[in-house]
Amino acid sequence: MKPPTVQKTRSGGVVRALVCLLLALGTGAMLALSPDLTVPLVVLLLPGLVTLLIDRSPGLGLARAVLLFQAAAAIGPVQRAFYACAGLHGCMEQLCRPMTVLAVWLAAAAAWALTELVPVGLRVWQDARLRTRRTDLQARRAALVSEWGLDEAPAEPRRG
Amino acid sequence: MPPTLSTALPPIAGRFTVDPTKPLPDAGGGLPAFLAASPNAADGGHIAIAVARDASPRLDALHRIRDHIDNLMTPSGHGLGPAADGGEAYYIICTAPPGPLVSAVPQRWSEKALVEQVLKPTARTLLTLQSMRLTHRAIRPDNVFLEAPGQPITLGAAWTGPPAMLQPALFETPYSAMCAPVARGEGVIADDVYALGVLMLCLAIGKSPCAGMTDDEIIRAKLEYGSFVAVSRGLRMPGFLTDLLSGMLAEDPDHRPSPQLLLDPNAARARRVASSPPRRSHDPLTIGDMQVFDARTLAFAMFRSERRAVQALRNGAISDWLRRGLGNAGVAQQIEELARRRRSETRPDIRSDAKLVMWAIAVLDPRMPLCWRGLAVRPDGMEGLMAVAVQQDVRAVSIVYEIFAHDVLSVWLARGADGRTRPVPPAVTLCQSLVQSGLPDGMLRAFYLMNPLLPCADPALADRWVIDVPALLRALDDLAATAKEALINDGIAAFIAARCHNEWDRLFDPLLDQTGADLWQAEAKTLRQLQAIYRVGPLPQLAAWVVRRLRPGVESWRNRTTRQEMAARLQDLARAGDLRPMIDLVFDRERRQADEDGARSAIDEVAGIDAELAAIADNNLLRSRGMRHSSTTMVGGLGLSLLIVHLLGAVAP
Repeated sequence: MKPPTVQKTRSGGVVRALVCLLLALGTGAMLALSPDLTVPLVVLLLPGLVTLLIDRSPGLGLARAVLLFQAAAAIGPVQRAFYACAGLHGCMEQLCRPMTVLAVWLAAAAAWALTELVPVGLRVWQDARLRTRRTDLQARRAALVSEWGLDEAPAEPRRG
Repeated sequence: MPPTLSTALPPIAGRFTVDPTKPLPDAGGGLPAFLAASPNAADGGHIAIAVARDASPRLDALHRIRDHIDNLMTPSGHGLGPAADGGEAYYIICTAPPGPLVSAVPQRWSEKALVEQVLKPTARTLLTLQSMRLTHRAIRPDNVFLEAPGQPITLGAAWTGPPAMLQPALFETPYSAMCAPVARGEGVIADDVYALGVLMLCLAIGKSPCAGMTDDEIIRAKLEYGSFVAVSRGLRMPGFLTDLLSGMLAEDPDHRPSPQLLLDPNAARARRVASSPPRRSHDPLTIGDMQVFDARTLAFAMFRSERRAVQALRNGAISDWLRRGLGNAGVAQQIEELARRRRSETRPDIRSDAKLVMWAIAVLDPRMPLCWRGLAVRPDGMEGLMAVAVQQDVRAVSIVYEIFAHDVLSVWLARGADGRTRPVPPAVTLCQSLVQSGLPDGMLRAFYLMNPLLPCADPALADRWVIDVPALLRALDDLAATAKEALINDGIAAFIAARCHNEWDRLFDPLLDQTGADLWQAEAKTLRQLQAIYRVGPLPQLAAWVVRRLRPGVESWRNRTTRQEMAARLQDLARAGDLRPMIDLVFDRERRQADEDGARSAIDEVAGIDAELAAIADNNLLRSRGMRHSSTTMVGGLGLSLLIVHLLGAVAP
């Protein structure tokens, strides 16, 4: 796999700026149309939005995961508040209850934790698989060298 | 402890067994003779005469004489037998001598006894031999036997070595006597008549007429005065005998009476052939330490002192003496022409002087043998000379090599020193081609070709008499038990090449060209071919040696399992003593190709493994980056899935 190039990094920044711009426009539109729901929603999704601003991973993978997890966790409260609350204060009280905020933010934390832990797990699993493969290859090589009287010295592997 | 043979030798000619513990002194005419027993009583008494390793038996005579010949120790067979030292020896089986040697009975024979007991029976025997195109060439007192007083004499065996090999100079014409003993050639029946004449003279006077004289003195006397005068000087003999012997000892073979004529002694005595006496000079010419008075003796002196002869030829002393002292202007002119040609040579070589002397001797006396560097040889005596040269005489080897390599003999024969052109014997032509072929062992091959009954001269086979390839293989089988390195050296290779049929000769040429690393391969293949061609039985010790010898061949296989299986299989095959499956196993082309293909596949596979291992190490870091990206994608996918599920849950009633 080739390392990301400078060109790719620049295009990633443009995308991020574009996403932020669209998000700001969307938020502004929602504030204009329904400010009583938008503000508590922003509070609920705040970790994801912050992550969106600071995420440097290619394709904003981390922010995407956090936002999707938060969105999934926030669907239920927002649906209930959509028909039950009225006014900014009422919606804030209904949506920004501590347990609700904590649940949504924990979903964001879970997304972040998964994003950090899955590579480690994958790495551990891959390493075990490759170690087995390397052992098999070395055994096969030794058998071939011994059976056919080939040159004992293996090719020097290049270290990355 | 004497060496013991691995196999019992079969009886010679199917019936004769030799007892080497019972020697028979004097019976072999100078060669060791032993009692030969036959279970068939009708065979009568026989003796076995041992062949010397450097003296080739007369194979032509052994082949042509099939029936018993009266008054002759007739050959009855030949073959291998046990030697006194426990090894092998080659024997010629002959009828036993009827009594003691005539030389053991010192007496003067009467004229009548000489005619009836010596001349007539011997003439009949010579006539029989002549009808077979054979000569005897061994008529001398210590090879002639007498059964009892009044009985005809019996000629001894003459088949065990080259013709006239043991003849003293007295019993040979001077031209034959000056040749190397083994190079006197078959000669003609007139040479036997000559020897018979000298024998009769010895018996008539009861002693040797030239006792106390050296061979050179006898030869010189015969050349200077004529044979009859030289051997009968100071003797008083009856007129009949004098006339008869003077004819039998004539210088020209054509002037001697034939055996047929000798059956009628009176007619033989009456036969007179006019011959002019040789011209003599009053003033001698000195060549070396010899003073010569006639042309024949001059030729002999030039043969004996080649260096002085060259000086005398080049400074004109010889031609001057011939013209002024001898009055022979014709010969002097020919000698001058030879010397002039020699002086005018722009690029003389080391053979120029030898050629000058050779042609000068031939001009002085055309009956002289080929004289080359102090060695005189008859063309049909080359095989005997070759045998002695190769096995004993280093100087003779170089002379024989020169004679063959530079066409000396064929040119001498073809140009006709006496004005007659003589055909070159086929054996000489063959040997010339071998020596001139440039093969390092050309001389050895020529020796083995010319002497088919002589054994392989390799020192390792000194206690054996190996004359053919099957015997060689059996001998190698015994030697293989203790051999460490190569068994087939250059000498044995030359023996194989010479004793094999010409058609197969090419099979063994590669062996002669191989050296060093590839020698084992050619050696093993040659042995396999020989065992198969000659259908020699099992050779277990040789097979075990071949297993050791084939180790490089086994090691050259790439696959270890194949090598191990092959080594085990070779051990099994070696016990059977058959070389062919062993060699075929190691040099199997199809299996070898499969082995090479397998090795190439293994190399390719190892290269692939190395590349994969290197790739694993190389992609370690990149893999972790990619893994992070894929994990975020996976988590994103999981989040999207959860979102969809919750949305569906919210929308669904």
